[in-house]
Amino acid sequence: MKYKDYYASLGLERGASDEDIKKAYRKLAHKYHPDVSKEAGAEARFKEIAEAYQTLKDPEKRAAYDRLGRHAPGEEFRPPPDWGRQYAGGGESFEGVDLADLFAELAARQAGAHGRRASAPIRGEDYELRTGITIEQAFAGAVLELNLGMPDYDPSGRLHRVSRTIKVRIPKGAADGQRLRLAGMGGRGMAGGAAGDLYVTVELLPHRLYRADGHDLYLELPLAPWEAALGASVEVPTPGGVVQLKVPANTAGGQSLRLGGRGLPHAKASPGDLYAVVRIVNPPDPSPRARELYQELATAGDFQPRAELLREANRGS
Amino acid sequence: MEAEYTEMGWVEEGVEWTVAELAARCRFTEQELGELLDCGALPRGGRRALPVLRAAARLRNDFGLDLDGVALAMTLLRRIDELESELSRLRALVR
Repeated sequence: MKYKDYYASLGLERGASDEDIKKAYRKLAHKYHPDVSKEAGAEARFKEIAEAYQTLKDPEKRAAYDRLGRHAPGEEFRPPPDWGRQYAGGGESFEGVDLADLFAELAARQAGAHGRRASAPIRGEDYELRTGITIEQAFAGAVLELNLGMPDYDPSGRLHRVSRTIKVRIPKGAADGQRLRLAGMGGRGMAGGAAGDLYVTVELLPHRLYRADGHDLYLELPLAPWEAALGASVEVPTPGGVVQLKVPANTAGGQSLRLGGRGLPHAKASPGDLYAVVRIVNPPDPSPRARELYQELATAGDFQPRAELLREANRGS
Repeated sequence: MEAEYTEMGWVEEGVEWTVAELAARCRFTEQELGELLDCGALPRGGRRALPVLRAAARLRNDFGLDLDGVALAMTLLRRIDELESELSRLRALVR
């Protein structure tokens, strides 16, 4: 069994009072709770904090933990003789047992000793996890292998983490934040209760070309000034392949050109659209001839690109 | 290890759970859910009710919130959800 330093997880000394433990937990929980924090790694850090607090806040569990002695975090160790009999319902084998599961078991026994263990069927817990997929996978569908560490009981009734691999078919047409349900793949029910479900929330990974909004996709489309002014037929990449887009004359920078049905497919509706957002780009190093033509353009008409800007500015002053 | 193979479908966003079904899937009693419905923290037939309720149950458990605190947390979680959707829509428009 690997040792975890619950006091260090909460930033406390061994002799911390109950009040110190509560204060340290609250402070850290406010910072790292995954439902309120956006910090990277917050979920893992909160799990560590909550695990430490669940044990140290309870006098009996804290005493049991303290009797394990001091070890380096992550060090393989064995509880002292008789510890198992006194605190863990007998048995001295702790091979592959997680410290958190051991204390969860202790809590369950405490509840049983106080007559609170329910005999009515209890539905297993639902589990939630997030997985990232690419826009290409959302477009075409994908099969993902998810590795899960799930709690389960061994034949002697001790809680263990069991590694489980589930192959999941993500149907085509996933949008960011959509959830899939795997019925019965969550926690095991108790006293004849049904197993819980596993929910998988799909997150679209950032893409070098497309940004997604629901089933619609956005793509930045660079156009030369003359393509925007005169109109052109240009090639545009889409997840389903390159298509030809007709750019109308007098297209402005920032304008969105819609390619209907070229976004992500939808399970129950027509596919999303792809919007090509125009960005006008100048040649980085125009030739002398091109500069001559620009010069000609500059004197050819009386176009005032900032006329509206100045009119608004004058109105406000 | 041999992988278990599972087919699954999208969770219906617009699905309406009964109070009893919701209570079986989150750590609230039917009476508590009734109170959350009455004060408007849990919209009737609301979209994505279950994930918000699960998050609220976690916050209640981890911070020792009372039901008023839970109701407030749910209202704020829903606002954050709406703002994040809007932010995501706007981010898609600009790089």
